[in-house]
Amino acid sequence: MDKTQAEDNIKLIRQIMDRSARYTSFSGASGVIAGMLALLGCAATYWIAYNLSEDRQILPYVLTWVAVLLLALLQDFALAYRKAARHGESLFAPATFQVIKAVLPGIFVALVLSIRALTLGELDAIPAIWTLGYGAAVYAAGMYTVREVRIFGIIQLVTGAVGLFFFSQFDYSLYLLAVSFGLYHIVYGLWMTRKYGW
Amino acid sequence: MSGPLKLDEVIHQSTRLAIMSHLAAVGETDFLTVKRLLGLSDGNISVHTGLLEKSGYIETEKSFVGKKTRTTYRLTPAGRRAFRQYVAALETVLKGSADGGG
Repeated sequence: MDKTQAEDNIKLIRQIMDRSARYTSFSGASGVIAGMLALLGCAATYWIAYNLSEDRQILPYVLTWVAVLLLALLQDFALAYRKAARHGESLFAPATFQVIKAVLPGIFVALVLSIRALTLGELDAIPAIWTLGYGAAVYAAGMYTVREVRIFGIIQLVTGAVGLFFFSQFDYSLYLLAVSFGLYHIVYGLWMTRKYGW
Repeated sequence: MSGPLKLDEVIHQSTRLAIMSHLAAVGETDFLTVKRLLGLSDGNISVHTGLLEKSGYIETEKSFVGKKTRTTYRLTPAGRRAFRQYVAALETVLKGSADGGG
C-alpha cells in the first residue's frame, strides 16, 4: 500500500460519508409541512384578493409569500439538521453547499421574471413562474441526492409550463399554486417518508 | 511503526470499503439505499454484505413491507472499531510517507 493509494482511499471514504449524510438528511416530514404552509399561503392570498381593494393588494401578497418561504426554509433546515445530527453527521458538509449552489439559478430566474411580471401588471403569471423556477431548482438539487427528488422537479416543471399557458387567470393560478406547492409537497413528503423514514 | 503494516483485508476491498464508509456515516441503511447511493449491482451487494456479516462487522435483517422484503444493514460495534482502525492505518501510511519512508 503506497501513499497515493492511501490518499485515494481516504478521499473515497470522505466522499461516501459526506454523500450518505446528505442523502439521509432529506426529510419527508418537511415536505408535508411545506405543503401545508403553501396551502395556508393560498388561503391568505384568496382572502386578500376578495377583501382588500386592488391597489392595496401587492404588499400583503409579497409579505404572505415571503413569510411562507421563510417558514418553509426554516422548518426544512431544522428537520434536516436534526436528522443529520441523529446520524452523528454535520449538515455543514461540502455537499450541502453544493445543493445550495445548485438551486440558486432556478430561484434567481423566478425572482427576475416575477419582478418583471409585477411591473407589467401580469400578476396572475407569477404562480406559474415560481412553479417553473422551483422545478428547475429542485431538479438541480436532485443531482446530489435520491432520484425521487429529480422526478419531483420534473413534475413541477411540467406543471409550471402548462400553468403558464392555460391557467393564468387569478382563480386558476391560485389553484395551480395550491396544487404545485401544496398538494405535490404533501404527496411527495408522504411518499419519501414511507421510503426513507421521517 | 514496527513491522509491516497490516491492513484489514475485509475492509480494504473497494466495494466493501464503500459499504462500510456509508454505514459509518449513517449507522443503519437498507438494500435500495446502498444500491442507489453506491451504484452497485444486486449480486455485488449480496456477496459483499454477506462477507461483512460473516466477519461480524455488520448485521443483516430481513423484514416485510407489504409484500416486498426489506433488507436492513446495521454496523456492529466490532465493525465500527474495525473501520476506525482501518482509517487510522491509512493515516499511518500517509504520515509514514510524508516523513520520508516508503
